Amino acid sequence: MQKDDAQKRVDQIHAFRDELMQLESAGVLTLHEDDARQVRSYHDQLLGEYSDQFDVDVTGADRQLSWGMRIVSFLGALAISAAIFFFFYRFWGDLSTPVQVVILVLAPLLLLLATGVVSTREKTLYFTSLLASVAFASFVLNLSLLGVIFNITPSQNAFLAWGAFALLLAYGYNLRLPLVAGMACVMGYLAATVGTWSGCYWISFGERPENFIIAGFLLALVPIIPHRKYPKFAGQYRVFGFLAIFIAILILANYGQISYLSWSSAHIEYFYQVFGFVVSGGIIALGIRRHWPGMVNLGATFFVLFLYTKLYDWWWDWMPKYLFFLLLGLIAIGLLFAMRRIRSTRQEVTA
Amino acid sequence: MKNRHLQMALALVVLINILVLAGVAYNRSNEPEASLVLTERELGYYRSYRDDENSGMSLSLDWNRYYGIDEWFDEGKLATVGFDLEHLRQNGADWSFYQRQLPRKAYVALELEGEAWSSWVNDQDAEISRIQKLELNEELTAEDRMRQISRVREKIQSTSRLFAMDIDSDPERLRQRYPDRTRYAVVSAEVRVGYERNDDDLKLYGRISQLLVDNLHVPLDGQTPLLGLPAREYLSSYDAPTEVREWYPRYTVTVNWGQRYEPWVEAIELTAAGIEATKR
Repeated sequence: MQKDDAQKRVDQIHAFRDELMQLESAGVLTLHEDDARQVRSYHDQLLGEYSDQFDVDVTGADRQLSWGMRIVSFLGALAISAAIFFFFYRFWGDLSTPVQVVILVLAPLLLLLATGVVSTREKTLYFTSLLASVAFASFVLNLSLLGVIFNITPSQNAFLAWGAFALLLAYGYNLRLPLVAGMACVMGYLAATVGTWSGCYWISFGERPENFIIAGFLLALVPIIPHRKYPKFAGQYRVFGFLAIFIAILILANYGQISYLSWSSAHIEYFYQVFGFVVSGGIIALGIRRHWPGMVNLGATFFVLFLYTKLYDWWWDWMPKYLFFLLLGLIAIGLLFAMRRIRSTRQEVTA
Repeated sequence: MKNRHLQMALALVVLINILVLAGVAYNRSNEPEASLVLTERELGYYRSYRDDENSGMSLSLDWNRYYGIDEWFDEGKLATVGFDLEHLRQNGADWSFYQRQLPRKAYVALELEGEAWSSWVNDQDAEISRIQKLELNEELTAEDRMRQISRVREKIQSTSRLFAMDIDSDPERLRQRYPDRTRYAVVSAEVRVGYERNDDDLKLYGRISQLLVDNLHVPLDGQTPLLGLPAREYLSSYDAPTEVREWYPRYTVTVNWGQRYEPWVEAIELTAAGIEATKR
């Protein structure tokens, strides 16, 4: 059993207790005292075991505190990483080249070892996550500064190295922050490599958003590889991959000049506007069908964004502003009614 | 963390660093591919690089990126570095098509104080003659004449003597055309398409948008000569004095380029002007 499974079980137990209380108040069901005591005792024992073994959130207060600790861990990682960067920049000019190289190489190695040691001493992994993030930052500093010290020609291979490092941390500890960092680096590498297929120099990969459409699609396919031990990772790959795709489409729908396509800018923009609606609608449908709430939210968000940018193109210049925003609001209300209808239709079908 | 993942991460860090350092060692192996003695003209030391938050020192490589390039970086050279001319010409009506063409990587031959430099100096001398004629024709006062001439003279003394001479996708082919390794450096660069349109005539040419390595790190043992130098003052268009102000480079820098055409600073020495500047 993983921590996520234990947390789900805890949530089930709380939901059961709340529902039982509702049934008793409504006079529908009242357990015999011995049965109630036995069930309560069994659940209390389970909650205690899960809390000891997995450090799950047993109460609502625990859950809120956990969120706070995650945020603090993230901010702490950012601050310490920045401190390491600025500390090195402040003093590196006073060090000889061999000393610089030794420090740059040792930093990520020592932080990795520290991450390993700390992970064996805590169940919550908040400090582990912080150290893992700082280890990643130090590896970025390692390769970046070696490039500066030895005047090395920039290469996209650095993204691959950083991505591999972050993903090893993510999968080794089941950590989401290194996973996001790893996905970002791998996407940068894929987009830059796709860009070089047309013969261009890799550094200009950002000048063609289609590079990110292909890279995002490849990333979104990763969950085809089973992720049984990492159930939340699959969803994050899909969301991150399609987020990149949607942002690229949004840019091309408004600025067709930077597309690979050789059509006129106007035709390219029309094409990507239609493409954006089709893809976002498809993602909403797929997310509903496969029970992927993250994808449904992502698709709905960008469907509305594409719609609003299109309405802006059509109406902003000539329509009174109060009327423009009023119509946007009415359209949002209309979408709410439509989505509520879809939800109630699905509930009828399920029933 | 599972031991397997920890070991893989440690091994990854070690392996990547070995690969990087091996590449550096290979670049600096054997005789340098090129070795040029540059001065403050070509490698500027800007004080902002050594502010309180960054103790590292870098020299910025300066070169003449526009003079004479449109004469030799023509369509033939564009094709040599990989641009598809047929594809480029088919969209002649759409000017934005050329602006959004993606750059390519190529190798540039930089010449130090050669024919291009002499030609440029001759152009500046001609400019001085033109200014002097303006005063003779009473189109310019004596004071304005001196001010403009002092600006041109300072430009001649301070401008980089490095000029781009040729380009190719294959650095070895370029080196065969320019075998003098003490006068020509083969460096990697990013190149783009430029265009000119006059009525129905479309002219395509190349532009060198940037050198891929144009900031050279100065190691600790090379920094000493530069530490005592005060910040360099440059004339602006508005405060140029009437007397000609002599501008001399204050240091020389020996720069080597290696097997991967990546540079490093070999030595830095102060010139007489530099020694004088440190005493003030």
